[in-house]
Amino acid sequence: MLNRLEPSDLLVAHREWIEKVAAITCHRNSVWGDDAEEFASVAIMKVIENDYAVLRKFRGESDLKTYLATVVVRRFQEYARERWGRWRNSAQAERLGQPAKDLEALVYRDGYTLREAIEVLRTSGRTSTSDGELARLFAELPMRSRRPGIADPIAPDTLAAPARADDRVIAAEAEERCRKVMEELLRALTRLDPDDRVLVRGRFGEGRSVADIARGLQCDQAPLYRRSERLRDEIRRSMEEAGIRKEDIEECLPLHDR
Amino acid sequence: MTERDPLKAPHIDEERLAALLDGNLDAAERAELLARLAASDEDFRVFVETAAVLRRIEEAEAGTGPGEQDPQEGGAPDGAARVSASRPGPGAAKIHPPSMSRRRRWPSGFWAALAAVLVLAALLSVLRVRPGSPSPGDPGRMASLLEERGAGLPRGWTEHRPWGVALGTGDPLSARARAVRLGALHVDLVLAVQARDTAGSSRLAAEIVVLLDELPPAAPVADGYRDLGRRAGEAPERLAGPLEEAGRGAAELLGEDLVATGAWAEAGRIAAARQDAGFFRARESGVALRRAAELPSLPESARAAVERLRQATRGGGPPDWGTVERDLNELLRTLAS
Repeated sequence: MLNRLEPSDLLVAHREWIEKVAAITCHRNSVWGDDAEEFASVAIMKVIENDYAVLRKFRGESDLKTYLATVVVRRFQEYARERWGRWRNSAQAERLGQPAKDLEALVYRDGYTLREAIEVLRTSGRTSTSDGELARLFAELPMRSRRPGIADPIAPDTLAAPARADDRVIAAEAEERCRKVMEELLRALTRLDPDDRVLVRGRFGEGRSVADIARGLQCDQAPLYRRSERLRDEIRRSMEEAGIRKEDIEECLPLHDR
Repeated sequence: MTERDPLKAPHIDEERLAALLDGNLDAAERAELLARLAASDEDFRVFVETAAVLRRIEEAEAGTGPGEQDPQEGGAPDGAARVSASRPGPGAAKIHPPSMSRRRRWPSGFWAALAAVLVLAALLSVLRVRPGSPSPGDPGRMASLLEERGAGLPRGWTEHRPWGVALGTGDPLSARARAVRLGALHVDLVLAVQARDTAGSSRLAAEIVVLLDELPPAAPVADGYRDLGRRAGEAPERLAGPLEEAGRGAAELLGEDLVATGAWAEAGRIAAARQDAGFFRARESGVALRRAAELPSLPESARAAVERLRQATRGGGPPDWGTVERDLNELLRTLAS
């Protein structure tokens, strides 16, 4: 196929696809406006650079569109890292959905206050959720460090009291309990086959939807739900048999979402 | 563009990921790729993110909606109603201190730990040995013939290799040269680890990774050395097992006789530099010389060097160290170039 078409012709034929993948990737990662437009150009450049190396090295092991989608997503990861450092939405934001991901990115990545972030979302037409709901959504997110010089994201009267010394001791004990939980989780994961490891990691470790994981693994969603539930129960059981307390698992592992 | 850190695993090729997403891999290839994905960070994100993007496009094209929600979730398109239903009343908004947050992402180092465990498990299953069992295939055993094992490498030792050519700048390495170099570098790595030489261990592990990275089937073994590089500076007894497993894996892949010959010649050079006659009197040294003499297609100059070494180390008294050193250099230069 490729040896009959010039790479430049292939690019023309797939330009719309590349831009579509770039736009959806940006949307999913709370990047829009000028940044999204810039990334669309970056994605096209990725295909053109080094005399269309991306297209020339394609071996035909997959559909060209799938290959280009993978290339664009990989380039997005690099682009985001160059622009914003190693930014990732938290697993909790992934679970809570797009408004939570947008809020988290605007506040912790881009430095907006919560009020400004809500305004940005509203004026850009990305949400119709009420301010109160968005504020509660934001409160569901784990606190993350912000760049130096960026003010607190919400008004002082809604902030929790600063951590006291005994809070820090409690936190240290919690960290130690969680370390043990993670060690046991590691043992449990090594016993799983690769499909199940990807499923458990995707659903519980990264907060990805089962539908997305099913698309990746090329299998039906419904059985995957059941399988992930079964795996979660098995992992919990094996951890409890290894002496980990149920409360510690609940505290440290997001095994109860979705 | 920054140079790739050889201690980091190479990215999975985008076309392989695409083939996985298209269901174009056979069962063994699929299992191997998924195992790598589950223990990687960036590749996993590229995989699930591309899957999510493709799903969205496919569902839009099929007219089944944007498909951001799972069927079981129902309700709110952006998740807000679900949150609302699960939340207490107004005024409850509160930010938890990070360490107390109930729901957290699994720590990023977690996946590296999983990768390391899986690499070791894979090595053990391939080699079918138990840790600590007798290990005739381990090239590191040549280092144990030296008298002072904790003394480290002689000063400036790694700056001048007998084979002379810098890695990655010449023609592709022959299989023989790669195996012999690996044996020699493995011995150096063992000695650097035993001397707690953090910088040296890390550098040597990286050199070995570069040698192995050019061979796709060697990826699990290269990962073993990567892990050793990351753990450089840890207590030697903690690294002994992983070192042995990596060395055995490399010997299995590249050819035990060649790797062992490279390892023995390098250990011999160090013994000669230290004037350690015990090394050459050891039974294992006699075996190594016989094995070297029987290597197929042994170049004439190497054969002659082996014969001289057998003569020089046969007598009871100390050998002529200058001659021994010269012949060992010649042997390594010929076999590893």
